[in-house]
Formats: sequence, C-alpha cells, structure tokens
Amino acid sequence: MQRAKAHIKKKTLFQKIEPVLYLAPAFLLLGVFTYYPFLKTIVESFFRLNSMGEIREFVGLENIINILHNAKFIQSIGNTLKFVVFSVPFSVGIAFILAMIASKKRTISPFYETFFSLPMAMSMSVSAMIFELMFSPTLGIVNAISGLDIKWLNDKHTALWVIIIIQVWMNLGYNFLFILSAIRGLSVDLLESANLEGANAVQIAVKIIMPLVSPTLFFLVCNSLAKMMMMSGLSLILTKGGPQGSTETMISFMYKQATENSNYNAAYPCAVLAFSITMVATLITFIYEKKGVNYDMQ
Amino acid sequence: MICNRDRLKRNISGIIIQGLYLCVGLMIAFPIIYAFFISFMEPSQVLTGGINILPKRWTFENYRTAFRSAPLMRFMWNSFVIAFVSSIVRIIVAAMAAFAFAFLDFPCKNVIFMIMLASMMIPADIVLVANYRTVSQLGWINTYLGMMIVFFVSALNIFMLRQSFMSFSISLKEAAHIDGCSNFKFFIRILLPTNVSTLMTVFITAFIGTWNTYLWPLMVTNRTEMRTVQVGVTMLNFSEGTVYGPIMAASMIILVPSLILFLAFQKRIVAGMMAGGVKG
Repeated sequence: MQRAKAHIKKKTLFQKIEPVLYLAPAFLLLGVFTYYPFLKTIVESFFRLNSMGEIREFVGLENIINILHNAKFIQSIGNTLKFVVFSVPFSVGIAFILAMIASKKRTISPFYETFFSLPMAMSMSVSAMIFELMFSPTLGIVNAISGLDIKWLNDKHTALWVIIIIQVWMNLGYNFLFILSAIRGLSVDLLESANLEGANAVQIAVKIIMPLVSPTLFFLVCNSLAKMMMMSGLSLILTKGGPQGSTETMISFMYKQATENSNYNAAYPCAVLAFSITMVATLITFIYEKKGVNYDMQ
Repeated sequence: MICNRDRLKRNISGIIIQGLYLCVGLMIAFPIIYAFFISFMEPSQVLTGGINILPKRWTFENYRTAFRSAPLMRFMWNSFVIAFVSSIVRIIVAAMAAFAFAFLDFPCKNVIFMIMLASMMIPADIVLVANYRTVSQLGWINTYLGMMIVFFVSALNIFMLRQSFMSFSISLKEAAHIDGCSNFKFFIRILLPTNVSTLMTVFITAFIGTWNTYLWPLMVTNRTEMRTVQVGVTMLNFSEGTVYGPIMAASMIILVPSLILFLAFQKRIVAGMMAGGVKG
C-alpha cells in the first residue's frame, strides 16, 4: 500500500515536469532567435552602440530621429510602400483571374493548373537571374519583342517596376492555389443558378464568387502585405538598391547599414520603424476587412 | 441530330477554350521555359540578342562552363545539408511541442500557446541583424549550424501538428495508458506513425523553404565554399563578363530539386498551405 502510494506520488512529480521537457526545445529556440532579438532590437535602438554592437550610452529617441532625417531611408520607405501598393493587389487579382479560368475541371485542366502554380516552386534568386536576362537591354527578350529601348533595371524610373513584376510573378502560384481551392469549395448549385439567370462570366466572377471567397482574398492580402513590406532580396541581388536609391527598401537599407557599415545605430531603429509601419499597414487592412469581407455566406 | 450537333459544338468550343487556357499557362511558365532553352543555347547565339527562344543547336556547353567555373556541387551539398538537417530538427522540435499542447495538461497552457503563436507576428527580417549579432558572438559564422539554427523552429509547424494530433481520439490514448504505455512511448510508437502524412507535409514545405532561402545564408557566410546555391548563383562570375548561358544552366540545376519535390507532392503542399491558412 505504502509503496503504491509512493509510486503514484513519484509519477505525479514526473508528470509535472514532463510537459516542460517536450516544450523546452521549441521555446528555447523561439526565445533565443525570435523573442530575445526582437526585444534587443527595440531596446538597443534607444542606445548608442559602437561598431561592435556594444552599448555605449542611453540616447532616447535620438537614433530614431536621426534615421528619420536620413533622406535615403525616407526614400526607401516610399519605395517599399509603392512596391507593396502595386505588387499585392496585382498578385492577388491576377491569381483570382487564373483561378476563375481553372475553376471548372476539364480534360487537360491539370496541365494548365500546374503551369499556373509553377512560380511557387521558384526561389527568389533563380527568378531574379532569369528576369535579369529577360529585361537585359541588349540581350533580353522584353526589349526584343516590344521593340522598346529601355534600360529597365539601370533606369531609375523603371527599375522598381521590374522588381514589382518579378514579385507579382513569384506570388502567382501560391495565391492561385489558395483561391482555386476556395472557389472549388463553393456550392455548385449557387453557381449554376447564376448561370441559368443569364449572368455572364464577368458578372458571376465579380458579383457572386468574389464576395464568397473574400475571406481567402483577405487572408492573401494580409499575408502578402506583411511579406512584401519585408522585401529586400530582389533589390540586393539585382540593383543593390540603385539606380539612385530607386529600389532601396526598408530592409535592404537596414541590411546594408548592418553589414557594410556595422552601423547598428541606424540598423536597429530602422528595423523598429519597418516593423511599426508593417503593423500600421496590417491594422488598416483589418479595418477595411470589417466593411469588405463577408464571412456569413460561406 | 440537333442534339448531336449541339454536343459537337460544345466539344469544339471546349477544345478551343482549353487550348486558350493552355496558352495562358505557357505564358505564366514562360520565364522558366525561356531559361531552360537559353541554358542549351550556344554562347554565340545567346549574345546575338533579338527574339531567339529556341536553340539553333542544342549543346551542354553552358552546363560544362557552369560546373567548371563555380563549385556548384559544393553549393548544392551545402544547401542540401542545411535544408535536410534543419527540416528534420524542425519536425522533431515541432512534434514534441505539439504533443504537449495537444495531450498534456499543465498550468497556463492557453497563455503559453498564445505566446508561441505570437512569435508568428515577428517577421524574420526584423530580427535579422540581432540574430546575426548572436550568431557571430557564438562564433558560428561560416558554419552549417549558424546557417541552420534559425530554421530549427517554426510556430506555424507546431500549430499544424497540434491540429493534426488533436484529431487523434483521446480515448485511444487513455486505452494505451491503461495498457502501461508511457507518454513518450505513446508519442513515438503510436502518435507519430499515425500522423506520417502531416509530418511529410511539414518536412517537404520546410525543405523547399530552406532550400530557397537567400538572405540569412548570405548574411552569415562570407567564404565561397560555405555559400548555398541560392547565394552562389547570384555571385557567379564568368571570365567573359556576364554571360547568361552558364547562369541559366546553373539556375536550371538549382531549380530541379525544388521543382521535383513541388510536382511530386503538389497535393501535400497545398494541404499544408491550407492548414497554415486557417490561422487567418
């Protein structure tokens, strides 16, 4: 009897610490590589740091004020917003059209479905290399077909647009697959009754299907908004932020400050501002969601 | 008769529409097809410019140049090690945490779960610089560990696995306990084998994601032999200046693993995306 009791007691003690053992690896990693660096970034943006990243003195908002007086950083905020404002709606909109096209199952639909979703398998650096060739002023297919003579990535008026095009293309596959499965999940009766009432394809798409899949569209907009705000790779690979800073984004600016100049007094406040701007942009979309997104009909 | 003709008409318009859609598909996939053809072109043809898409003469010249002038195999190996090992570790870490959230009782469980989910709000790029400081202080610059460590945990994957585990009947777990099965044994012997499908989804998406990642490996490496393929391909410098043939050849080689995984497991990947999408 005594022994049985002891056994139970011992087991409960083990049961108490058992969950900790299962959770420890995940939370250790999250702590060291997500929460700690996040807090460190915020806290240290209020301090002056030397090029080794060591704290020198508390300076309050001075770093943030300095970075807001940096014309290059202000330009990079503008570039990022322009990039987001154009790449997000186009990547969701075109994917919606593609999903409408593919929504009805046909004999060879698996083929074009695969083609539509293919950009998803592409990595950013490979896409960048391919589009760099396509938009090359002398060798590229774009100038050859259109007959234009534009320097694309070397022209400050067009460089950001090329990057927007690449980003839209890269997002197509993911967005397409999402919207396609949302459309295929809709009730067939509803669509057929709309068909019988003589609504044409565009009317059905805009008036009936779009509101029905609006939760999915909203998810995609939020998801790509948060990701696009953090865009830096295409700029770093293709233009190094140039020409004349026209493709510098918030994160590519931050990256350069940290790696090229070891200037943590600029890099940390830059990260904090990029995060805040992203949060504000997400909040604005959530406010819009209340008006535009329809959850009842699903 | 009329009925037949109607059907014929519908068949023909169906074929035309499908042909049209296939053309749209080819347009979307055009950059990939274009890069594929360029990679087999003779260098002289690439340099002529103009509208040339199909190679006049097919050649492996570009592939030979790519392999000769850059340690592509080394880049591939680095990327493979990083993607494979970090995906395996990520599954283990995520499955353990998901098991605790799905089956074990502990105080403040919901609060801890919310804290875990909150980490998804912090973009990896925001903590990039601070993580770089941490890794360099640990002396992990130019090491596999330094490149992999930030990919070892993903709150989204913990969430996905927890959802999957929750569908396992709790009464079956209790029955296993009555038979003297410990939590750990239940986890290894029963729970993981019954959730192989979700585990595979997590592994494949993690592998493709890590294989394709660019900025972090760029930041924590500066020696050529430690570069990953994604970083390496953007740094290829050929003696003849910027020659696109070999770069396209290298791009094709890099593309193959993620393309094969994507095409082979498309259904799984979509299922994984949806599971992640539910979080809203």
